[in-house]
Amino acid sequence: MRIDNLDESLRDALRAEVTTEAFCLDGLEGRIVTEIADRLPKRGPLDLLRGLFAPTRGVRIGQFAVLGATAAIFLMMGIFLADHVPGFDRTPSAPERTIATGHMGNEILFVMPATGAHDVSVVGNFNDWEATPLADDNGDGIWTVSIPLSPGRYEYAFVVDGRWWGQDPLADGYVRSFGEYNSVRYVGQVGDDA
Amino acid sequence: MRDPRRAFTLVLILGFFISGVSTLALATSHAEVNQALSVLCPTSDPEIMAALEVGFAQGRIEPDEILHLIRRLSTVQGVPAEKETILLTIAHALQDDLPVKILVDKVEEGLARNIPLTVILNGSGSQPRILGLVQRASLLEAVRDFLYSKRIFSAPEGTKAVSTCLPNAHFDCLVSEIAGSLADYLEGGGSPLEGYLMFQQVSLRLQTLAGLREPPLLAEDVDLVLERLTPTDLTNIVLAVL
Repeated sequence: MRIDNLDESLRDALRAEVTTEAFCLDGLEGRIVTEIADRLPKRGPLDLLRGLFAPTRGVRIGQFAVLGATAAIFLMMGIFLADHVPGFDRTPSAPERTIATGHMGNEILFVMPATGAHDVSVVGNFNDWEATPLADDNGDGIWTVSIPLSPGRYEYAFVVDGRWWGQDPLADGYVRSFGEYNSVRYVGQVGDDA
Repeated sequence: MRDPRRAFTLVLILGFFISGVSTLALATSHAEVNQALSVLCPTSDPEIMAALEVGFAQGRIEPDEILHLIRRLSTVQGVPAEKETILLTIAHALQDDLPVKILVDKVEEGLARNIPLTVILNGSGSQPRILGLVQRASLLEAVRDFLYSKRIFSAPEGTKAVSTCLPNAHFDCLVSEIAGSLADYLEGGGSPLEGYLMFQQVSLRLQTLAGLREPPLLAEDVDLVLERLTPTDLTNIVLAVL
């Protein structure tokens, strides 16, 4: 083969190959689109929400409008729930309140020996003088409860089967109030890790 | 989340939601107080509510606390006029720019102990002495005025004009603790003429509170008061109230 005919021979060979494989190109565009679509991550509702708020130029005002409307909807939902759903009452019931009045901080242990007692609780200015029950799980007559309290001064008394007992041996002091004794506990003293 | 602007938007939405619900909760609580008050004190509830609103804004009383008291007052037996007077006394204390948590707490304790409303309100002169709400409010006022006379003032946080100007919360705490200590001394049978004993009791209480971790009172505030307070001053304060 002469070198002058080489180019022509190569062209013919390539043309023949393309003609042979031409049917493979049928529907190629559609297959590519399908393939790309399959490889794209699936968009869930959260992705749609993100897309809605995607900050692109020119639509910021619209985005703020959507944002405001969303906030308004949440607010109205809150109003509706507060007004119409009984369980949405924010004011806690008495037992919950006892827990809520305890602040993060020192867990203070209250201990009351009361053998044979049926009902022992502690009342004080940390729980609005509402009874917080003590427990005697092993039945040894030693009733206890731990209440988280923030640093400060607290007055309290135990109530044993309905009778007030304001002289806790573990108290830091005692005061008279309404003619009876209250125990006083200072919470947060250095070295007080009860 | 790769795009920080999207993250910011989502945080903003959550912020709107949380602030909306918080505002709503607060507003509802005020409405609950108002409603409970109008049932218990139909004649004077606007006056009391106006004072309470000031107290809420100043952080001197929380809606939940006063609502608890109103509900408790509603359930106990007693003359309606006395229940109203108890709430009016607290309202007047707020109008007089006094801390009231100590008053609310004492009423709560009295109600829990089933003390008659008239004793809670007016106390008892017989032994053991019981200070009523009216006397306790007067004691708060006398202590506050004494501190003013010694040029110890209160101011909102961050607006300290002079070195003896304490933040409102600290000043309220000082007034409450001094008055509370004096009331405990008197109910414990102490004589108002023994100013030195009262001074010991007051200084011990203030210094103990200042010595706590995360103390409600600062040591320098306590030192400032104790430098300017004498046993005679305490006797004068107490005698003016009794």
